[in-house]
Amino acid sequence: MPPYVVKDKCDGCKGKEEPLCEQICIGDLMTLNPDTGKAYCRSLRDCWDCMSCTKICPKGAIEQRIPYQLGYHGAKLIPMMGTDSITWTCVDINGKVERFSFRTRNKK
Amino acid sequence: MDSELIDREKLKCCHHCGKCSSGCEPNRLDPSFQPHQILHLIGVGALDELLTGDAIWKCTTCFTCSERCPQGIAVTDILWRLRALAFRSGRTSELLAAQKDVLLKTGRLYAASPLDNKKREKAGLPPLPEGSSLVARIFKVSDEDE
Amino acid sequence: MSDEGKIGVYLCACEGEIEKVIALDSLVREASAWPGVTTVRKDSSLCSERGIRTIREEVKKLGLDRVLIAACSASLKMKEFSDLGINKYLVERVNIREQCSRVHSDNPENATKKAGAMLGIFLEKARRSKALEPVTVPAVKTALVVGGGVAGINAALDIAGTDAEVFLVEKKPVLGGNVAEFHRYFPRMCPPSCGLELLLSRIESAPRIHVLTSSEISALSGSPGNFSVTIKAASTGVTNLNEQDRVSTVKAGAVILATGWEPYDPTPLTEYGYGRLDHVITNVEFEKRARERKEFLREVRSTAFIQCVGSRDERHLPYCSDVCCMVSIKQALSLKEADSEHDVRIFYNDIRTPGEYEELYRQARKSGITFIKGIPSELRQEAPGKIAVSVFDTVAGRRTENTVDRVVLATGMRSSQGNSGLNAKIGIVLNKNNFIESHLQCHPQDTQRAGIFSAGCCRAPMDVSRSIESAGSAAIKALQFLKGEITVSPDYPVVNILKCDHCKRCMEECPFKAYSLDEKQFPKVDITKCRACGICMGSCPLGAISLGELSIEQLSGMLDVLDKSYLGDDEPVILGFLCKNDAYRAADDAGLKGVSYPPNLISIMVPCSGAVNGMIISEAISKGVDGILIAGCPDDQCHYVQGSALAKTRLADVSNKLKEMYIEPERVRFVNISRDETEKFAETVKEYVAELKKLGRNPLRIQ
Repeated sequence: MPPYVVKDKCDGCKGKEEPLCEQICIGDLMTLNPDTGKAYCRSLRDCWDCMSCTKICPKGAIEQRIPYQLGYHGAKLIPMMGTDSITWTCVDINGKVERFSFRTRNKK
Repeated sequence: MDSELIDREKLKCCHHCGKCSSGCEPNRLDPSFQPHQILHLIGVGALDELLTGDAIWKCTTCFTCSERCPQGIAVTDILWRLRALAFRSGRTSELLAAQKDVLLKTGRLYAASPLDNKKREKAGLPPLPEGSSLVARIFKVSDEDE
Repeated sequence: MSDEGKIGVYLCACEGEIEKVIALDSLVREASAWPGVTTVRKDSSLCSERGIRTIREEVKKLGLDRVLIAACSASLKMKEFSDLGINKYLVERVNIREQCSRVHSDNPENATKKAGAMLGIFLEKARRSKALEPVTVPAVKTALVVGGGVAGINAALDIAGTDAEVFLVEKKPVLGGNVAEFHRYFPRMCPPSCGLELLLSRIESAPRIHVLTSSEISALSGSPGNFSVTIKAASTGVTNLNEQDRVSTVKAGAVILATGWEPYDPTPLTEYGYGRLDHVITNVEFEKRARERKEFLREVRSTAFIQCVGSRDERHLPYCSDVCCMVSIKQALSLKEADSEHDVRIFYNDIRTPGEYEELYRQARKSGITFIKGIPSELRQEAPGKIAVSVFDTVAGRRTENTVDRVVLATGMRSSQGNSGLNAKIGIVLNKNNFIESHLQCHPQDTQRAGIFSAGCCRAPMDVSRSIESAGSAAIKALQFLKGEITVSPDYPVVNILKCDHCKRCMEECPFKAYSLDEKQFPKVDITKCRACGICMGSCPLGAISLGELSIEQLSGMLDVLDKSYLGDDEPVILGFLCKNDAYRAADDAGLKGVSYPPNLISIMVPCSGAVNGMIISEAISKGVDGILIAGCPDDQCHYVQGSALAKTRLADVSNKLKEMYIEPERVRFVNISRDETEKFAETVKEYVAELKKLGRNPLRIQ
């Protein structure tokens, strides 16, 4: 499920050298396109779909493209981060919405 | 609808420093024509008075006022639009009407003197024509439009 | 809930006022059962001497480590509740009067429920607070004054009257600024040599003032109390042509910028022929020539003054230069004094002589000076030594032709070009007219950098009198930093470097540029520059920054503990974040103004609406809160420059996220509330509750 950056929302993390998605990507795939100043995934095939970039983006500019075998066009998987919790919204191919909230273990 | 033609925002900034009237050539010849006064009159709701009067037709659109206005008010534009408003309500200046007649009749705004034609003869040019069907056609088209 | 603690909960009946609405006894019963609560009691008047004594005794006797005071608003009785025998950061105030009993008196049952919910969340906040002490930083007792004109000189003298040292740096080889070259001051028409010389001799004899002329600031770093300034002294190159400019570094506790003004060059106003026509001069030139030679005032027989040359003009200086009317009147009077028959005409737009300067205007008229309301459009050379001024006299309603020997253009004042250079070196903020921007109307001497102040015309066009006053106010402010040490309240933010990801948003969004990077490239806040607005806390996408008195962990805990159905299953619950400068205070006024709103809103005070972190808002929604309301100052009045604007952006991002998650984006809302807009606040809450009722409860509520 490769990440797709919505150009209107991405602000290149205000033009700093390493945007947040680049810093957190475990596979070192996300980076800033020097021409547009927006983030992009350098090698979609190598993405492991961990969705760390999606979770950390402060502008919510990254979306996941769910492969059609899993959910076809209508499906979406959207995380919303809290400080000690995360809420997932799942929309399946029939448009049914489900939400799940979890505590995260990332306390200091 | 009429008043939309005039940019009231900018107009309100005028505080009558008089620089426009000071540099106005028509004002030099006819002191009753005062651009700063005209702007003020629009602001206090005397639009009708202006549209029926003679004043707005005396502007020669030299743009000196607009160039020098400290508030950046496009005085010439406003005068122009006042004329448009006047024209839309069917009013026009006698001066203009007279000029229109001359233009239709002779195709020129001024009379051709025999001296002009003599000079032209000397230079091998044909004499100045009297009347112009082209001008008549232009008038016909614009008259139909308005 | 986190670890227990030994908490004392005190409920004030406020001489019966609160208890009339809120059933304190039932709250006492409820709170006694909560974990960590050692004692709960109600009292008729907590702020009374007896009340305070009781709390103090219990703190000692029971070994309480946190205290909860449920009473009036935290902005009241601060002195009384500051001395309870426990660190003041371990005392939590719960506002059950202004924001509960006073505004929900029509429904005591609901008011009590809301008070209970408030107690619950602030108890959790208290559990997570830490004891904090103010920090004292050693500081240098030296001030740096940049600019040796009237303002700079006075600021230096004012400061040297205490035991602080002063470095006075002036770009020119001599002190005195623009005014030293002038002929007369208004309104008393004294020569500058009088007052200025006295001041200059005092400077010379002051042991603690070090004057550096022909010197300029080339760099400034460090923080208030400990600025490090590099000064470059121009070489004289007299004896040694290869002599380099001398560079020295000075440590300063505070800086006062008094870089002054320059006359606006009227050459671009080509219609007035400055530089092209003879005998057309500026007001500044008039002063200088009048000073240089006495005969100047008698050289011609007629003079015209044209006002507002370049000022109040969209194409040149859009502002009014404040002094030109007085200057022209002063100069006209000088001409009349030298020769009472001198034909003086002043062509004006408005005559601005505020306060008692009006007397001088009257004097000018009486002396026979002609005032004509009309600005000339152009000047023409009529004959050698004669200028034609053709003006439409707007009062007479007709044109007047004038021929004069000399024309004085009353040209305006622009901020010294040095200002823009300084901006780059020091990082102070300039407004759109290049004057130093303070952003707070009530603190005109501030710049947006702590420890750096402005005085005189570099701040705004002003006359000598006001310049001296502004120098005084800058000096007083500067003295706060010249006491040898600076004490900082521990409200400043702390960065959790374990969570920080170097995105540097905090650095960028801080309106006071208080952040810099440490050796490991983590953001570090300069506590002397910080104003504890919390905008950095709001900006961090990872929630790594917390303020001393409000942390992300506290907010998170409060969200956990909040009873999302404290009014019952059908009533929505709104969490409000109100800024402490405007919105919270406006809300506090509601009861007194007889304005009420529904009890569905519980508000938390934040230093600035920009301090609210987007993650906290998202978390609130995901934990089941039905609506979030953020209320901040009107955008251009925000005490921290950009807080409200930033809050709106953050909210918009959350809103978008909610939309994607098929949650109604209306569940987060921002409203601008000014200090006196209590009614607007109440209306907003009423409207919001109605809207949320229509939307239904938060779909994430069932967890």
